[in-house]
Amino acid sequence: MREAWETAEEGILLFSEGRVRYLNPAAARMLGVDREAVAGAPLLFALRDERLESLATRGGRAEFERGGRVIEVRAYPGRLHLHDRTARVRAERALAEERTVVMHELRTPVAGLLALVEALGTELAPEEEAEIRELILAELGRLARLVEGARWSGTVNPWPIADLKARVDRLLPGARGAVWRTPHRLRLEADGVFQILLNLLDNALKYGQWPVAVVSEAAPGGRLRLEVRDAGPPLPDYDGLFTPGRRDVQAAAHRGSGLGLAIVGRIARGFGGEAYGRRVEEGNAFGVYIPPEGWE
Amino acid sequence: MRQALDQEISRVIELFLRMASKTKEMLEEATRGLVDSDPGRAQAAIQRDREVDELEATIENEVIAAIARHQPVASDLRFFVTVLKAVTDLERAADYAAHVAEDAIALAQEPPLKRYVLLPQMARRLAEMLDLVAKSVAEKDAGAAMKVLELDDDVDDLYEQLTRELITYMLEDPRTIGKALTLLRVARSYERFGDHLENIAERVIYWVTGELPHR
Repeated sequence: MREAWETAEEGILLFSEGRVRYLNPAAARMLGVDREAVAGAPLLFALRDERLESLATRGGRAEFERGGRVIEVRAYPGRLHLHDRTARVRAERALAEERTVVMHELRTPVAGLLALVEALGTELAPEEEAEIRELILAELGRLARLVEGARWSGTVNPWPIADLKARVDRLLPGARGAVWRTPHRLRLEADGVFQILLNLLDNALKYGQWPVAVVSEAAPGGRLRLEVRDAGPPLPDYDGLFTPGRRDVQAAAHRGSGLGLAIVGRIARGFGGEAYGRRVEEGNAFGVYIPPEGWE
Repeated sequence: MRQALDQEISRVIELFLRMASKTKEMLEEATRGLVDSDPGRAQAAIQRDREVDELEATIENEVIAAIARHQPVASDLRFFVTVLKAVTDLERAADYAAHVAEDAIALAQEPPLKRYVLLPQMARRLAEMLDLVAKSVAEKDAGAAMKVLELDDDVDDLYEQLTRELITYMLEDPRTIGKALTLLRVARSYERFGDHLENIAERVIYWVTGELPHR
């Protein structure tokens, strides 16, 4: 039996009278101990944690972290079984992160849709009602593609960036005062660009200062810079804000969870571009670089 | 005679590991109390401080009695002197965990200034350092002690990063000064906690190699 334990992935530790009698290489690795040094020693020499020592005495199950690994311990009379659960825990954390991203992507458009549906309940001219119905259908279509996991990539017939203003204003009424200086046309999926501007404007309204502007301009390397500017104070770290889960002091204070910008970055990469943040004159600009083939 | 001395050394190491385990538990409870705005968990950390103090006194007594009984020399003498000094550092580290817990209770009375990210990172490094301190003592492992010194540099870097950010925070919005100052004190407690572990690691290296590390 011990020969099998020597090569097992599962960790085994045998003990009696409060002392270590045997532990296999897997257990030594998971506990981060030297087998030779702890053989015959009190149990605490191997476990290094009174809570695990107590578990060994009374039996049961527990999880603990050591050396960045998550270890599950099951205690039976005279023996401990150890399993490395790091992969499972990481998968659960990734799933939770994904769920948060989806919730974030849905929150703003859903709020906008509610406002549109409420507007339908008021007295509207027929053409206004038709316009709202069209907007609702367009938004629902976009959300459906989002849920189905569609990615924004590829090229389409050129369309003016300014065409998005009415759609953005409808869904994000607070952004109506923003000035659009966007003379360029794009060959990208409009839904992706719409989502980018929605997130950037939403952030500017929540954490920046007026005046707010949407600007497109040629950038080095044949690229186009499409960005949202506000008059907020300087931030210490612009690049870090695009990292999901990077919610340090500045991120939390000035740019929400950082998730909106992480989403912007993901869509931009789908276009073959990249997202950025920078200090401009007396304000901040967050935007995306669009590659040469994506604009005119 | 030698066997009796070895048994005393083993007994002292076991007590030291127990003290390190309780200190780690205090650190974890205090940090959870801070991150989850949970005064109950923070209070549990504070209550455990007395157990750490009692263990310090027990270990000191055992070490003095062992020196009197066995009059150790060379490596054995260095071991007892190392432990005698290390428990003082460990007790001070536990005090800093209790300070974090006290600040966590105060901070839990109001909505948090921010979602804490760097502070739990500091606490994770410190927990790792404590594991390595325990390993270095239990296994007479100078390599593990050297890693403690490296990790303390990480803790110092995180402390500086957090300090810069909190100062920016206060400059931009004076309403945040109260909470930001408390968070600065928490960060300072973590940083001092790490310094005490660094002291222990240096002494372990002296015990094992007979030389103090050059840094």
